[in-house]
Amino acid sequence: MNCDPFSIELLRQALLFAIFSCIGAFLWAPILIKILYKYKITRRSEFDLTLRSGERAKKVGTPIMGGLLVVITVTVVTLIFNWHREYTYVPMGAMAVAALLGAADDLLNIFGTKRRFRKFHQTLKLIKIHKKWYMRLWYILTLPWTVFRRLVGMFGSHPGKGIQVHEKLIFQFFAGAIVAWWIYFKLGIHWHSVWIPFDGQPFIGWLIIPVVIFFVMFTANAVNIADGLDGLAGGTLISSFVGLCLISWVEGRTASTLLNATIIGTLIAYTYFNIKPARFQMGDVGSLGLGALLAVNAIVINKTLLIPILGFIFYIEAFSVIIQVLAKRLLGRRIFKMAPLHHHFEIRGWSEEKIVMRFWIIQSFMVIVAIWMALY
Amino acid sequence: MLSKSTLKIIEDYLSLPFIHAKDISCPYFNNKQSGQRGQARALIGKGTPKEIVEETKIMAKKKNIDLEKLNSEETKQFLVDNNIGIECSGFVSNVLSKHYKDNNINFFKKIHIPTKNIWRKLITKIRPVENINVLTYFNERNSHEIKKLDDIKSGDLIIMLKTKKLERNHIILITDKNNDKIEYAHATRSSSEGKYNHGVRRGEIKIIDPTKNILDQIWIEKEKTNEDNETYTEAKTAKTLQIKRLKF
Repeated sequence: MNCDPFSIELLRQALLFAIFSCIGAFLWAPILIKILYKYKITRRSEFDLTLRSGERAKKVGTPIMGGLLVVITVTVVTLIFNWHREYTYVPMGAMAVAALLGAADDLLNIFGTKRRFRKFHQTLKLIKIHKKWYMRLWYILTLPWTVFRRLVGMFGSHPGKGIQVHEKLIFQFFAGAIVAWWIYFKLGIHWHSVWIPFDGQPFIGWLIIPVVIFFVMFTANAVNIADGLDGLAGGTLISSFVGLCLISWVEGRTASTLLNATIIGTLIAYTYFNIKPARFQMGDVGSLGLGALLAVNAIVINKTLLIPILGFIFYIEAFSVIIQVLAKRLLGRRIFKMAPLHHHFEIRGWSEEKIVMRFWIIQSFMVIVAIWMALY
Repeated sequence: MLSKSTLKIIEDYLSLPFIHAKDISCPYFNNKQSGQRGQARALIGKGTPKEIVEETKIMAKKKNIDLEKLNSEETKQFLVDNNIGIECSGFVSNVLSKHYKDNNINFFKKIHIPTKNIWRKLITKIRPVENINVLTYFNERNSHEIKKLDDIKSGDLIIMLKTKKLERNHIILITDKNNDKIEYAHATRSSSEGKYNHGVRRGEIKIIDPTKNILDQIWIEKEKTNEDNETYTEAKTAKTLQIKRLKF
């Protein structure tokens, strides 16, 4: 479903979608806030150490799962007005899977019971000393899983409740795999190439599958990591989706343009309520869902390699965590005072507003760079 | 003779370079107490003074404590309560690495860390200071024994193995030596010091008869002498007590 590049008609429609979804989201946001308060879906400090310090302590009691505002509004608007096999099935499907995972995590973090996992060295000990041979065999056979759990556990937070990092990654892998399968097998051969800035579109065949899985997983987690300050993820995502919307419009991709416009509209409403002091926070339901959506929306317009630039702040935040964990584990020292990066600046004494505004500005600049690159 | 910058790092351990409070000696912390793995050096008893101060600031921020408002005593308590400190071999390693660096020698490349496990060998290459303990210094490939008191010089080590009272190995760094006394510094914790008063400190050994054993001299630390001095009693009860000099 494409039209002429730079189509004024498409631009009118897109702006209408943005306005309509923004007003829609604004109208039901107070209802959502009420529901979240009613069911006590709020931030607790028991398992989040960062909430015990300074200004952040004030965030305790703020409703989470505010991302539902975006996820539900975008889903409804798209289902009714913009349902298209090639361009909106996949993004909506990926967002739904990731958002469901995030919602489960949000709810389990609040209402779930504490979970305990055997440590790696305990498993090794059990392999040696367990009195039943079949249990020893079981521990040996499941050792790769234990190693995987231990390794990825280093990079995540440890709330004790909810879905653990290794479980999240498995679910996200499936979400990415579904997207990759759909793209590879259902959408035809023209999807089997990847656009490289300034260098055309080489055919990569089945390699598109791991590429898609990687970007969906990484971007979803990156947005999740960046969602740590009031307004940060929301405002930054607006820039990213504006970039995607403009690129889609320039290329005359109707469904993508309208979908991105819808997301922009709802994100404006969301960010209005999310700026400091936040009336609600995105939660994993929003951050994982919108992260996956960001990646897939870039993939469906064949701008996969632009994702790190379109989501620059998210990628920087995610890499700050990876670098910090590796530096601590391997070198025994910190590179940042705290990770993700926004906490580093908080500890350096920057106000929350200053960090958020600067990150927004950097992101806006990078989106301009991304749009410029997309034109080649 | 230890270089100026080496003496400075000892001074920094004796009075951590905080801006808000002075004379906070770095507390003693041995990771055996908490068994943390893969942590920042300052949290496992192996950090430099700068790393320890930095980690304290981060910890204070995380715990919503305004460090600036704490006096020296309270700051030290905060360090102890949060397991920030230094242990004896960590102290010696960081001081000596500075000393050797001033002489253009990479201390951590030179020192041999005995291990048969390939994985651990790799780890010791990337995190040497965390894998150096008293036995590493005692190892024949790294050091040789100094038998005469007259031969002692700054940079030598007093190594105690399996001390009876505290059941540990301990290492002391000799910082200066002249005809009538040996000055030393070490990170230690003794039973009489209570929860908060331990850490890096100086001491001296007055040489009354250089022909005799080091235990026959007068050990003075915190104004306590010999039997009242826990460092001395620890040395006395050690299964092995040697003065050693690094071979490189």
